[in-house]
Amino acid sequence: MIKIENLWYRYSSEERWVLKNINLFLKPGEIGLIVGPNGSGKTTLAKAIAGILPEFYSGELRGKVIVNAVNVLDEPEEAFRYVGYVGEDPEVQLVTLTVKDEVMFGPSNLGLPLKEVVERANWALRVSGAENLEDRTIFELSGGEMQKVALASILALKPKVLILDEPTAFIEAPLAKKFYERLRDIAKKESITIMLIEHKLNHVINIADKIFVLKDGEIVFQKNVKKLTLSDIMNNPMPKLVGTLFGKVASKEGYEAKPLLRVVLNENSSNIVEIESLWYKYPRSKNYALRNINLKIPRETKMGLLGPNGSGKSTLIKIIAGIIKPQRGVIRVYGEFLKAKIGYVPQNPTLSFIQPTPYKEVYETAKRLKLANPEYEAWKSLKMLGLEEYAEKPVLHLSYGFRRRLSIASALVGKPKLLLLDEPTAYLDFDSKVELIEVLNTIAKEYKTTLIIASHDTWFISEICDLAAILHRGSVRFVGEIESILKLPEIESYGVENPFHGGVRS
Amino acid sequence: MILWMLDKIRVALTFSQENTPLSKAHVGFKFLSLILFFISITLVDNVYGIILISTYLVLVTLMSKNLRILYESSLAVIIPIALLGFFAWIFSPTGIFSYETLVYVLSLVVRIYLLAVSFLIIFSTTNPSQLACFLEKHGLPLVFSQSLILTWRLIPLVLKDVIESIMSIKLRRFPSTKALIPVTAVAIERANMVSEALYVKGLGFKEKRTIISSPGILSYGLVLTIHSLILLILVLILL
Repeated sequence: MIKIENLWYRYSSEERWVLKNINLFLKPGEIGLIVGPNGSGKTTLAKAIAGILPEFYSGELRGKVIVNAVNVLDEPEEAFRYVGYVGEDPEVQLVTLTVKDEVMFGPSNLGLPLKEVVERANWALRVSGAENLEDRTIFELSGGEMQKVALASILALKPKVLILDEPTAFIEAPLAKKFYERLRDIAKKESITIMLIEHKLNHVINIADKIFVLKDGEIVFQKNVKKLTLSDIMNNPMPKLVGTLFGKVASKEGYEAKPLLRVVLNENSSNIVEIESLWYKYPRSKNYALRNINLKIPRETKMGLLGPNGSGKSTLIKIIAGIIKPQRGVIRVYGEFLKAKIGYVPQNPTLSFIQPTPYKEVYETAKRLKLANPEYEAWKSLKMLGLEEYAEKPVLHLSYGFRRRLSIASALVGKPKLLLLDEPTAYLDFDSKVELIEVLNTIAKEYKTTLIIASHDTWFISEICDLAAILHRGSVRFVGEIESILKLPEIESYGVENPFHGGVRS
Repeated sequence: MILWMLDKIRVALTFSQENTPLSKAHVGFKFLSLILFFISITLVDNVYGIILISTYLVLVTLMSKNLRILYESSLAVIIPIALLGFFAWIFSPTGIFSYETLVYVLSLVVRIYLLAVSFLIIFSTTNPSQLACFLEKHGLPLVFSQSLILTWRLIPLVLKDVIESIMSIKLRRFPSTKALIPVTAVAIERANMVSEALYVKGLGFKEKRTIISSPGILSYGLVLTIHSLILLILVLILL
């Protein structure tokens, strides 16, 4: 059970309240869904409930967060006994070197008998769909696999309240659906209260009991999901955001399937990237992450790399960017001049920031790339990504979603001929995704930029890309026009969701 | 070259979960043998001694059943050791082209190579949780044992960040040295997030944790320790 009464919070470095008078109640076994745009205070709220806020951050905190009759703001050390928290970045939440050790780590800290530790670990791995990862090392896991293991490691603690901050950010859609169905079972069978922070609502809405819309630190809307009406959605302060709950509303806004075309790839067109017989194996890994990849990407096209977790999408993007070198095979990125005209947006956007504020970050990049009017270009890029009002804010104070936007703004400012994006929609809310689609389509058209996007968000890819490749277990299974790819009957068996033929609530 | 070297070091420090005699060897004896080997290597001062102690690396490689680990570990240390050898040679007090200098530099380079590569092979084939459990069982406070695991876990991660950051920055025509800024920022953020993760997973809430890993097979550990002990005795005799 969670009961939040009049919760206010502001960081010591800021005047602005990050959380404003939050009141919320969830019964045992209930699932609460928190939605809201990037920077609305969702993660801060999650950290307050987990007892992390008073323990790790200085700031002014008022109100009560009652979990199992304990006010975790007064006794944060008690929160651990009842609250499990899985944060945004799974990589840093894994604190050992093997999956088995990771899942046993929490229960072992409780000093439980070894037999119970093992039983809990096995149960948690099964529930989170990570049984097949048991014998792996952490270094071999993809982003999505890490997320499953991070969840299992918390579930093994058998918490009464489970808080999940974007748990499916790197999980492919068919698995996300199964994952949420499992969560529903866990909540019901184990009487665990679950609080979910999520941007992709089409699956999660089917299992949630209550919805809370957070904006600028305030709950601006809350209701029982079963009682939601169309007028609730249309009158909501963020109709587009909540509109994603219903396929019908999304369709009204024009997000419908495109007409089908045949798979035609012009072999004679001039390519910007050519890959021949490429193989790649991560160090100390038994299996190849990429196997015999042959791919030609024509200039001025928009290519989406689709596939489930661990299929090799990010690895392929990194090889094209030159970050990792393949063991076998040939890769040609056309034109020497292009070397300075490649934009790369890494999965962890913070790794590309070298300036203290978003404006300086983009401005300095524009200057380095010797653009004619760097100041104008910097503002243009920031505006495109909706970052003007955050232009002078310290970059490390930005939420993950805004950092990703900034990383894209920096990559775009040089009007690159080739732009590589690795999971660009992770942690982005629906509105931001729509904006990003517009930005990328504009960039591709105006600057004649070739886009290569690795993502498991099929809808996002279908709204941008002309071509797509499905990667599965390190091999390219299909290449062709996106419409034809979406029509493939076996598409879902390769871990790729068809956003227009299922998955949306009718 | 820096990127190449960083990548090779990252590979060499990445944990390899193999089912070999070396990874199954008793973790306490494994590190005891490494300490004895270290003492031998600091004492040895002649060619015969060096040939003798190199058998330790042969044994470790055989027990790892994987020549690739030897190759990857060698690549990781080759540039730093070559640089060390070069500076030892040009600053030698006995002159650049003397026989003494040649013997001194070769002896130094080979000894450091043997020590570094043996350490890397043992390091990358040992599960730190196993070592942490062993040390905790023998009274080491969990703050130290956990620090050990985290260091082991985070070194390859930080090196991966450095490589990715340098590449991302170079594409925007900034000098590679600028990568220090985001890497430091990410490292600080990571440290904070890791401490939060340890907190929510209950580290330190109980003084005694459950021992989840056995220390390993005694006989394999003894083979390593006895071998390095014999080496130490022989080196002392040769002195």
